[in-house]
Order: sequence, then structure tokens, then C-alpha cells
Amino acid sequence: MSISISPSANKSALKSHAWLGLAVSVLMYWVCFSGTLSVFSQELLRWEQPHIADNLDYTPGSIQNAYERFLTMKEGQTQGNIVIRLPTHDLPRARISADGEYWNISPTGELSEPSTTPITDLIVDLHTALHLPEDIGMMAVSVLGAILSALIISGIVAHRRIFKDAFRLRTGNNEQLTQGDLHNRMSVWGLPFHLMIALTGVYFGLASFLTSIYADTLYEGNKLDLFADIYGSSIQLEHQPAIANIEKALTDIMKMEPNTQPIFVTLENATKDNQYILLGSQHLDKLIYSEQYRFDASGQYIDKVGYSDGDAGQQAIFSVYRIHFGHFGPEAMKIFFGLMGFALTIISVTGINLWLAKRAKQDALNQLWLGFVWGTPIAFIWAALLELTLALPTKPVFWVTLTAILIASLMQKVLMKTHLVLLNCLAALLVVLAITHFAVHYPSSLVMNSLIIDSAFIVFALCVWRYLYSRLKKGWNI
Amino acid sequence: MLLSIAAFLGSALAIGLFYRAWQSTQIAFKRIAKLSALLLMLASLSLWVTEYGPELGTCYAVVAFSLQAWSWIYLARQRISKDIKRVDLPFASGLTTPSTAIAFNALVKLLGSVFLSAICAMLVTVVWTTALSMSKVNQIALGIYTMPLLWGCGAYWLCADSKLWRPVGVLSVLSALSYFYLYSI
Repeated sequence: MSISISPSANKSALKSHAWLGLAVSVLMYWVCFSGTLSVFSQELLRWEQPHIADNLDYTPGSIQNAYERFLTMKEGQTQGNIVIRLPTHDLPRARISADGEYWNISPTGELSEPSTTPITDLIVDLHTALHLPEDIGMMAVSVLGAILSALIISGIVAHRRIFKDAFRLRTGNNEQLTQGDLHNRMSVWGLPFHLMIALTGVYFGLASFLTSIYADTLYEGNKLDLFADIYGSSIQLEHQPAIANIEKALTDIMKMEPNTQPIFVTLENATKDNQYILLGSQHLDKLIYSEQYRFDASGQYIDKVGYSDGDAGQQAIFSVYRIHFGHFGPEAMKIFFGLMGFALTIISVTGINLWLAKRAKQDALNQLWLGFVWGTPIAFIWAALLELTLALPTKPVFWVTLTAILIASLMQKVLMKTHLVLLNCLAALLVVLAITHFAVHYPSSLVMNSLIIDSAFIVFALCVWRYLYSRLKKGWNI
Repeated sequence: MLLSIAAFLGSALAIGLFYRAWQSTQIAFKRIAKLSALLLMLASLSLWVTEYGPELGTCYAVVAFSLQAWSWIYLARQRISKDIKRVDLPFASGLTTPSTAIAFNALVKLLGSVFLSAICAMLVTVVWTTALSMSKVNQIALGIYTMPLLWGCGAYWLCADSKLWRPVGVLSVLSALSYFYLYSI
């Protein structure tokens, strides 16, 4: 028995695939590219502030000290919750935040300096919300997740030779053939990963709409009951001490759950009469973000929310974040996730390249697409450079640079020339970024994390030059 | 650690067998090789799961398999050295403006893919998941993970069908029926 898809179904699927791909082309590219970089957000955070020493030796006492100092600094009042991010192997530094203010904590419990990471924020915010207001941006990105699943479905139906070409990658002078093969092979063999990224991506911005319908259907419209079932019900406490005993809660959790990794402490209803401690601790054999343990403000254990041994569904919902960003397992997993995210970026670029090549003409769309593809990383790097040297805000610089590149691309009629110039710019800027970061932060930049990232920029620059050289060898003379 | 190495080698061998099956012209060999590769893949998955548990094990298996397949494809790439002269396509100034009918059609497709498919997928997902006999939380989780697929199917159909009214009509009716089913009982 053989399964086959009719030629007409193939044709219409291809039409659908092309239409959807074009409709989201630039946005999908931005989300995939910035998502690939976001996998390394914790390493980038450390790269941005290399002078803050990486340290895992924080004691519960030093965290308590930092909290009390922070509370004094805020004159005992905060509007929202106080959140303490505890040191972990992938981000070995602690941070305390409330009301949009972030401070690094030294291992002795002092508030060392405000935590500002504009370069990482530039990348991560493009991925999560396209630099739009958070609510709208997250919804837009989640819609892209759904469109990605439509692209996957239409791509499978459209791929008539899915088995016949399973291992075919033809390289050489025929650029279109190579790009087509790359697009198809990377898509097919990475299918489970791409699908997982699409399905989990929809969750972040659009789950609330779905849960509203579930609340109407299963909970008679009472959303709080639904949230209680999924996220655990809130607890009501009164007459809590003004200064919470986080030290005791941290000490107790290490005894109660020695095989877990505490990752955050949230002081719910902070500075109010009913404040309590929510302590998140990661179960290293599970994909859930964390189990949440609740303590009253004097540090007495109350209960745990129960994600780690709750319903399979509850665990599945709480696994979305770590599955989507590859933040599980050894550090190498991030590199693998980065590679797979990069493959998805290549798929999104080659898809549009193929469509453009089939038009038998070149026009402003070709110019713009080239500007977007190579201009985005250039604008990222340029924004990072100006932040490092002149402390200019990254987001406005990014958009101004990208706009300038697009205008310049539109003005240059010889596409090959634009392509080569952009490649040269990108490679040169990667080298300049590595050197600038090293020089600006010297001698703090001599730490392993910074050295690896700066070296990676140099390696990427060499890859871009290698790519450029291969194009020149193919006769891309200007 | 030994189990991880065995699982890694198992999936690499599975891809190798798939490759040999793909290359071969002998039908009998193809079948045996494909079947063996599938069995090896399952064995590899079970080794990953034994070592790291079902959640992490499955993730490792998927990631390892994809990366190994891409590496294999790269190593087995076919270099075509035929000298194909690069043809520069003619450059047309400006952009061709689409007709009003085409622009309207595109707008309907876009709105349908984003909004109509989303509404339909969400309502239908709640209908079918709540019909299953499982706990409420499991129904919701199942819905969260499967709704994007339904949405994707809807968007795909909207852009694939030559008669746009067909998917628009069916998705609208499905949405309406699901809505009345959910909110009238």
C-alpha cells in the first residue's frame, strides 16, 4: 500500500504554503532569528555585565540581607510583588526586582548595582513581542506560531517527493536548487522540533482566549476556579510580619527537597498585611518550569502547588516555557536548540528566496528582502555597539539602522552588489563588536562566558566571509 | 552515560540504515532496512527514556535525531560541478500594484487565516476536548496543545482552496455550531 497525494492537492498546498509564507515573511524571519539568539539570553545577560562576578555560593542569609536592604531602599513599600532570581548554573548570579526596578545581588547580600541589559532586551523583546506593547506584541507573535503550524501542514502536503528526496542535498553553482534542497531537508528532518516550537509558541499570547472559553464551558464562567485548578488556588493569610523570613524558607526547602534547584522567590502581596513567600524550585528530571512551595511570611511551610505530581495536563502546561526555549538538560542542549532555531531561520529565508527566484524578474521586493535578511543582524550589532560605546538606547538605534539599510537597499539596483556589501558589513561589524566588548569591559571581559561569546562573534564573522568567498567563486563579481 | 552513548549511536545507525534504504534499488532490501531503522529508532528512544525519564528522554531523542539527520545529509551532499552560467534576472522598477479584486481576495484570506480560523479552532477544540472523559485540567492542556494544529489546518485550507467562499462558509458554520453547542446548554 502506498500513500500518495494527488497532484492537484499538491498544487493547491504549494499555493497555500507560498501565500502564508509570504504573508508572514519578515515577521517570521524576525521571530525565528531573534528566537535563536534568545535561547542564549542568560549567557548574553552575563556577557553584558561581565564585571558582576558569577557565583553559586549565595547563602540563604545573603539573600535575606539583600531583601532587607532592598526593602529599606524602597522605604518599606512596593506596589507589586518582590521577585528574587536565585543563582543557577546557567545564570550564576542573583537579582532582586520590584516595580520595574532590577538590582544585582552580591554573594555577601549587598545590592551591587542596577541590572541593566539593553542588548539582551532588544533581542528578547523582538522575539516575544516584536517591540510592540507587550499584550498586542505577544498576541501577534503567537499568531505567527499558528501560521507556522499552517506552513508545516501545507509544506508536508505540498512536498510531493518527501520520501524520494529524503537525503538529497545538491550543492554547486545552481543556487536555486541548493536553496530548495536546504529548505526541504531542514524542514522535513526537523519537523517534530518545528511543530513543537509552533504549538508552544501559540500558548504565550493566546492561551488566555482559549481558557476563557473553557472557563465558560467547564467553570460556569468563573475564571478564578479554572486558574485555581491549573495554577493552584491562592492562599489567604492575615497579620503577617512586615519583614518576611526568606532565609528560613530557603533553608527549609533545601532540607525538604534536596534534589531540586531553587530558582526564584516571590513575595506575593509584598509589604502588605497578607504577604507570603512563593518559592520556585526546579525538578531537574522534569520539564515543568518549577514546583512552587508556599511559606507564610515568617517562613513556615504551608504547602506546594503540586505541578510536579499533579495531572499530566497541569505538567504539560507548565512545561511550555522550557520546551520552547530549550532551557533544560545540560548546557549543550542550548547549543542544539540554537542550531535548530537557526535551521528554522534558514527555512524562513530560503522559502522567500525560492518564491522570489521563480518570478523571473527582480524588483523592489528583492531589494527589500535582502535588506531585511542581512539588515536585521547588522542593526542588532550596530545597536549593541552604540550601547557599549555611547550608551545609546538600543531599540530606537535598531529601527533607525534597519530603516536606513532598507532605504539604501532600495536605492541600489544591482542586487548582487547590495548582497556583497551587506555581507562585508555584517562580518566586519561582528569583529568590531567582539573587540569593542573586550576592550570596553577589560579586564572583566576575561571571564569564560565573555571570551566564548566574543570568540563566537569572530567565528561567525569568518563564516560570513567564507559564505561571501563562496559566492565570489561562483562568479558574483560586481 | 553508557545508555546515552548507546542511544546516540542507535539513532545514528537508524539514519544510516534509512540512507542505505533510500539509496538502494532493491525493494526487499529497502523494506528490511527501513523496518530495522524504525526498530533502532524506537530502541534509541527507549534508551533515552530509560536514562532521563519520559519527558527529557523524548526531547533528547528528537533533538539528536534531527541533528544527526542534517549532519548525514550534509556529509552525503551531492556536488554538481556543472558550470551553470549565472543568469541575472531583469530588474523592473517600482512594484506592480495588484487589482482591487486580488487585493480584496488577499485581505479576506489574511483575515480568515488570522481571525476566522482562530475562532473556529478555539471553539471546535473546546467542543471536542470537553467531550472526552478526562479531568478538566487534562482537557484544557490537550486543547492548548492541539488548538494551533486546527488553526493551522483552517488557515491552510483558506489559502489552498480556489473557491474562497467554501472554507469561509464551512469555518463560519462550524464556529457558529460550536458556539451554540457550548453556550446554549
